Amino acid sequence: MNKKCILVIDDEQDMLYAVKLQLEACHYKVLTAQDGQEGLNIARKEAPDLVILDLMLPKLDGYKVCRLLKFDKKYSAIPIIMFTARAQQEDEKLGYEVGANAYITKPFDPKKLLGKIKELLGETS
Amino acid sequence: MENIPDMTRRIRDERQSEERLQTRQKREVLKGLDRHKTEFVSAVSHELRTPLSIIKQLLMLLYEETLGPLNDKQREVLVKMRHNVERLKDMIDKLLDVSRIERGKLKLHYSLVSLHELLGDSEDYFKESAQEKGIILKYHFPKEEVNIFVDAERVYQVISNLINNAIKFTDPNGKIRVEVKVLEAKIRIGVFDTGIGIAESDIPKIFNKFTQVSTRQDAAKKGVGLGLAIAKELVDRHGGEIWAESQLGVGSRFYFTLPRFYTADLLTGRLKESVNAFLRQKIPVHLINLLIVNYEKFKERITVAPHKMAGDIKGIIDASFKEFFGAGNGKRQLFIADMHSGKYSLIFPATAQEKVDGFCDLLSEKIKSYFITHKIENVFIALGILSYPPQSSLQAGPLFSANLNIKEIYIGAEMRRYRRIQYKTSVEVVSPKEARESCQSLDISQGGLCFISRRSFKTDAKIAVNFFLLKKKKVILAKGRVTWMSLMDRFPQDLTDKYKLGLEFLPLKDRDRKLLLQELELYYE
Repeated sequence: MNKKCILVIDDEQDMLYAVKLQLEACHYKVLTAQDGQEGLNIARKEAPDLVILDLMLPKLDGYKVCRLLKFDKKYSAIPIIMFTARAQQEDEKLGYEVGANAYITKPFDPKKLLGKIKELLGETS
Repeated sequence: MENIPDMTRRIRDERQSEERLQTRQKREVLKGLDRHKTEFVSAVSHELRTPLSIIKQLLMLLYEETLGPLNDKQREVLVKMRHNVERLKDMIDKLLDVSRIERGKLKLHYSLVSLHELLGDSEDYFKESAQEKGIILKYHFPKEEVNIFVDAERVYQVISNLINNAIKFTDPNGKIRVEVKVLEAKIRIGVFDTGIGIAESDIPKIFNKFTQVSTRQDAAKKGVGLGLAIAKELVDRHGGEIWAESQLGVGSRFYFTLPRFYTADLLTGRLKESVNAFLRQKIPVHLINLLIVNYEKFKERITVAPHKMAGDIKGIIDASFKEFFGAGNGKRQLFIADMHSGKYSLIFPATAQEKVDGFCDLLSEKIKSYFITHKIENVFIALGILSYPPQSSLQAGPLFSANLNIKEIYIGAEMRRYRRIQYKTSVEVVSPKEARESCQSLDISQGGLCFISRRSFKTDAKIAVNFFLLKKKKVILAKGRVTWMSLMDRFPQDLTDKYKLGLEFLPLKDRDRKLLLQELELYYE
């Protein structure tokens, strides 16, 4: 069976490392990017099954990356999970406005994140 | 040449104006420093959060055994690490909250929640964490469903702060009681413990920033001393009061109140959901409740069949809405809930306040004429419109979200129950004897009185007061229960602390009750 591929975009290298370990332990293929532009390029090139996206990113912020993917027919079907330290309601609203499918705050509860991923990938356990 | 007195005066004036200038400059510098400090705290706290959240994330990988099994010693180490990461995170969150408060950046997000929803889930969690210390924790809720209009997350923060403190300062085999009481116009939440207690002289200080009055030098119990200061700010912002009573070695009782919206009690789940749906989209909502007071009795006395009347009133609401806002206005949504018990709720979005007032007036006119044309006799038909938040609570700034406007239209005699008015009169505490003093009132309603006292009373203490009715020019005696209390800000000229307290009347003597009603009636118009 082909492994599902998840792209994680976060500017904190160690956070990327933590998420990567977590997801790999659950048998996902993980791609990583450290800024918005790089993330967008990889997303367009590799068309991952799901994107986990931090809000505050250098070069291109998370909202812009989200909008660029969601408003592009070729990629709009890719589920996006917004990922941020700010638990403010305004952020959440804005996240959904630009088309994010889910919203998870950092530090995340591994079970919650994995549950969301499974749900969005249609892998009901 | 100037004479001597003139010269002295000139020199004195110059010196004074120079001093004034210097003080002003000093004040500006201090203000600037304070602003810098607040911004610095905010920036540092934000920066601290990122590495901390990474540590927590990595810890979780180990702890959940994602990377392989742990032995017992390793798990023990990780539990301690996790606990300390949580402590650090808690402190940073508190620092951030304080800096938000100081910069005026703390925003409340109101929604309608039921108290059971808000607290129910936490019961098991707190019971468990009390149990770990060998403490018994119990919740006592009123049976009825109580809805409040608050920032649920922030209110939860206040409650959990009080409960965590109670657990922290109570020894094994102690008891903690969390109770919710529904008062006249407020709900009161109390957290009582059998812990180490607080010295009486320390009680006024505990709600200040960076205060820790614990007599024990137990390092693990130390915090930053911000929790109660934040709790106070959050309760204040909700328009409530927070206070404490304690005795060293016996235990502490912490209380806070939140304004209660009667109207909200009428909302069924579906209606509450539609109110919250608007609020989530940041669309202002108008909620109008039409209530027939004492409906069961009312039903017996009217000549129209109750179900017909219910339908007719619904028709009137519909027609009035169309008439006032225009039938073609498809964008406006109107929800009417007919609860078959003389209660109707109308919910509709985004309309100018004046329009809503106009609509309410039209509606009450129409309903009045409905009763008149149907010759419904022997019923005192009075219609009153009550709007929340009450005007008097608006003076302290945006205590309430501008996003929910509630109005109530009452049909029936007791329509003005519980409406409070500002009312400054002299109050004399007559019992208990040792508490005798003369005070001043702030506001009054049919059910209670709020006044300023130099003494603090125990919550739920029974006292008796004499007070003077300004219009009727008579003194009445009222017995009551102290239901809430708050320490007032002390001005430099004040020699002693002052408390604002709420007294809920016990049933008044017939003569006094009538006098009070007449007095209030004179103020309503």
